[in-house]
Amino acid sequence: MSTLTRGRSRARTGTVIAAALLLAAVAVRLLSPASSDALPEALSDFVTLTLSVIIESVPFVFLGILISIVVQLWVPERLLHRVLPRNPAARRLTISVLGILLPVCECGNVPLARGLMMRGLSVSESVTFLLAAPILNPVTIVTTYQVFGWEDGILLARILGALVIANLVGWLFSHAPQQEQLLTPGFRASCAAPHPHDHGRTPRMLEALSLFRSETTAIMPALFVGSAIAGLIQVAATRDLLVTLGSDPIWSVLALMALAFVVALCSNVDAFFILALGSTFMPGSIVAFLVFGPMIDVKMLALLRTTFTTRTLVTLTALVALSAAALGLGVNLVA
Amino acid sequence: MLDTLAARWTGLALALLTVVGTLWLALTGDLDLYVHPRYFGFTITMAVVGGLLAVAAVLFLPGHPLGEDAHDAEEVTESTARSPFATAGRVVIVAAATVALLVLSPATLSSRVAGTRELNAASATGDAVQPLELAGADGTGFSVKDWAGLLRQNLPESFFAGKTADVTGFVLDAESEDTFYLSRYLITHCAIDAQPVGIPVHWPGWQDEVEPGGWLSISGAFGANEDPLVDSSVVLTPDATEQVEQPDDPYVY
Repeated sequence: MSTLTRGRSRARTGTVIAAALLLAAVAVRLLSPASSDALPEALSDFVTLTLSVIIESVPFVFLGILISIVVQLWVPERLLHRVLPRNPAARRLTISVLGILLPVCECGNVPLARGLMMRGLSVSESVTFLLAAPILNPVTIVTTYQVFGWEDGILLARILGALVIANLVGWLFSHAPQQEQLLTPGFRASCAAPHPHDHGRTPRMLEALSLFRSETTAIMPALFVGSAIAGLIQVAATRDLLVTLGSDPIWSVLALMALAFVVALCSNVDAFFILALGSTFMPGSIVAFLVFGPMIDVKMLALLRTTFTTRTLVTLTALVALSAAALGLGVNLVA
Repeated sequence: MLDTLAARWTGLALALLTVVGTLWLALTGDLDLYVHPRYFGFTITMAVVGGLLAVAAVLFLPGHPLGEDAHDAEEVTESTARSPFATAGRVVIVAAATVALLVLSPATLSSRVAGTRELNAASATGDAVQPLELAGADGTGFSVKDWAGLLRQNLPESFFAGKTADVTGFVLDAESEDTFYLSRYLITHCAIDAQPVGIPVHWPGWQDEVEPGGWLSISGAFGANEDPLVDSSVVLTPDATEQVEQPDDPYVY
């Protein structure tokens, strides 16, 4: 079969699948009741709260994916190397603010960091980027400002805390005798493999669509699960429990760090999520949530495991958790 | 087969479901049940962009080498997603998303949620009307949020003397036989940050007439509160009440 014939057949198959999916979705909506009180109140509230987080978050997720695709496919990679300083500390500091130029959420940063390592960045530099970029980017900073403004120093603590923690952890990892040993054997081997785009084998638009598919496959299920957990907590947790935990300087920090780890929200929207608890929990715990969550959570660990060894991830998690807890407790002491 | 399909297409399926659900809510005027109206433009625009990309991916990727071989990012996803548990989990998520976004009818928050949140919190009533604005007005155009903000300021009873209110909200149980709160949810960004604001209404035996969560339109005047179970210096005493349907936009902003 010729390439042209295969292409046409593919397009026909795709058209049929796309049309069938869209028609099925619209038909289900049309055949569903316009209104019903069939659900118990608690279940109805759970669905409403979950959907509100999803509908609020998805536009930001799409935006993050789009920027990630543009950066990966259309921004020259040599440009980054040309502007980076040679001094290791200054180099890590510069890398930690790359998120301002490459504003994608943490999920998009994983494939980006892998690409950077393939292009010669060290493991410690990539770790610095992975920890800092989800927070030190314009979308996250603007949404955090929208939600909290300058209230209680939450925005400032989030920005400075992320900068310090990312550079501290990067500096510690730079002392590993053999940095490549921090990576999985599979990724070490694949670092030498060329990207299809390097040889012009694949049209960029198709590669962009492939990236869009892979990014949505990584992010969307996690977003739905995280939103459902957030909705469940809102329905199930009593105000007395939240107030009891939230008013204690230590427990409030630990409770919200555990929440951040479990809900695994995108850093672009986590400030919206935590706003509902803003009047109940102490400022330091909000800061710990906003710093720890984008760096380490269940979803990120699953993604990072494809690149780093388990031992590396345990060390990374411990270092970030201790640093975020110290930051949160510090803010609680001065707030 | 199923594990490969789930690992590669779950994201696009969820994206398409969310896009169709969001655009449908926008077309039917129900999007405000979930997000603040100031985000409508951004939400709808990105839904259209995301929908077009998702449809294009479904159109052009099947059968293409790039759609079959492991891509950098897909490698990240698929290597963690091909276990039977991960496949089952993804199928459940898509099924649940279909039910939540397309099968169930849009719904507002019930009065039950208000019981888990602080009523008339400072952050909810901070930008309500100020006493000076009320001094020269009769107050009939003020919302539940405006009145709640004034009541929170612990103004003297004399300030409310002669002032009348004409407000609509849902009944929130104040655990008193003589008083309930006529309430609305205040939305800052989306329904998850909804905070209840309310006015205490003095109506002895209200449980025999209305149910918690039911919507009421009340006009009346303010007077001194004599109910020890309600933390407010004044209460609204109804002159006229009417049970009404939930408004198209049940929230205040």
